[in-house]
Amino acid sequence: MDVMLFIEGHDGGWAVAMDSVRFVNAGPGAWVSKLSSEKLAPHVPAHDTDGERPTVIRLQPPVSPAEQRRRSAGVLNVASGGPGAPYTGCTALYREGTVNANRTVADIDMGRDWSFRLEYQETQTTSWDVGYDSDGKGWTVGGTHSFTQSSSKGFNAEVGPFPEEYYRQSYQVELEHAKILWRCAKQTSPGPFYVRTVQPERWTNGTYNQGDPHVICPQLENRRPVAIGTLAWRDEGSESRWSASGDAFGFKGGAAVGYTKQIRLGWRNHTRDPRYLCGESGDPFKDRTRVIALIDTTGGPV
Amino acid sequence: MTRRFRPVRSVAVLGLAAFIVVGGAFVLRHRGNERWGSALEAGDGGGAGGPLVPGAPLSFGLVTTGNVSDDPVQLLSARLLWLDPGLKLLGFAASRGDATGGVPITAREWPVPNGVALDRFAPLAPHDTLHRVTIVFGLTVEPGREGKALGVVVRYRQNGRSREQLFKQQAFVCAVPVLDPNANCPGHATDFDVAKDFDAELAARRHKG
Repeated sequence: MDVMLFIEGHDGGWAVAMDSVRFVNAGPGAWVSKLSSEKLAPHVPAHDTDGERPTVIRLQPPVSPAEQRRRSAGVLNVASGGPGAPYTGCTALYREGTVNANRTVADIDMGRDWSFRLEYQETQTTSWDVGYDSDGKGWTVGGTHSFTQSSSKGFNAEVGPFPEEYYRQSYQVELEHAKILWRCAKQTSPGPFYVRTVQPERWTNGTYNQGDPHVICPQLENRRPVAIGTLAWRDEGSESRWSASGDAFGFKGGAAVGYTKQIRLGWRNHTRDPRYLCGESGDPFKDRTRVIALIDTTGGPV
Repeated sequence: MTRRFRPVRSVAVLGLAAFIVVGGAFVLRHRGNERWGSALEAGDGGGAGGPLVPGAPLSFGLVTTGNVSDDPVQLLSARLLWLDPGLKLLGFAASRGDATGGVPITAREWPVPNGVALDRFAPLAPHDTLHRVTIVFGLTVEPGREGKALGVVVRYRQNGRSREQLFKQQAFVCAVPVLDPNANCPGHATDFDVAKDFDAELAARRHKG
């Protein structure tokens, strides 16, 4: 018989002890365990941690004194309220790790002879998807998280026009993501329920251009012409919802970028014909959509 | 029997009288007349622009909105909050686009196809942001000039009352002798540098007079 002892301390730390026990017939109706019977128990030297008696396994590294103090106070330094509905009253137990991953703040899909300008140097109006996992089966997007951070090393780019048929690039910022273990209740049950979240907490100031985003234009009414030699920039107060990206502990999340005085995105038509900006899921000028700057001047949906 | 003069009570009475006079005037001035409203779906701060041959038109479909109120809304008219000298307003129209697409953000024509006067546009149904209307206006520019139109103020009728709503959009034009779709406006390293903060732009112009 294999025995596993799982222990959760008051401080949220975990430990697991394992051993094997064999029961031996010691006469009619009497059984003794191999370990509890001195007579039958094998001699295991103290330094022998192999074989059927592995040592105690700690799943987590020892905590620092500062971390120990935070746990004693019952508060973990986490900048969010937890997983959200259906969970309530969540308490952050443990920061299981951090990892850097890139999140997309603009998907540029632009036909030839367009140019675009992207200004993104602060995160205040960007809502980042948060992943949560309550049953160990994988991450689900559950709510969003925002934080405020500026970086002069953001994007301040004016790009194009290009002769290629389409210029496609995702503009991404590198964020530090934390994996947090929470203890929560539900409105229907005190639990406890243990839920993990992955959420971005800090911009490392890293910026990247990568990817090959394909934005579609499924509806004619979401195409809006831009005249020869003119430019247009998006409504302040509106936001664009960009594609999911990153790989933070296996979680990929999207972002909704709100446009402000400092965060702008615009396009200019360099051809001698009017051409269309098209929103994938709404008006390209004001709705919560990705945008494609189309090559064609007369064609239907693409 | 004599009555004592009570200065505190007199001041209170005078204050109440002043409040009634000022408040009454405010109510009379605004009742049934123009007040800032919020029946239209907001959308502030975007813009468009580019070079323009003097005398040629450039139209701007920057305000796209729907009715977010509980009542039907009838558009009445529109005006610009600020128009720089050297620019001329050609007029306003309301449009929903056509079978080929939405209303142009910019178009080198005026009047625009399918555009009608605002007061002839069908009333906007309550809580309808699916069937939006775009308010379009046209500009021309004098030779050697450049400038902006700032803010579109849309007037509408709701529940028998006339109200106005401001959309903080910016339209920029500059005069060029010949249109080159690749060229920036004279003196601009990039035309995108005109995408500035609406309130700061307006305040600077008002300060200059």
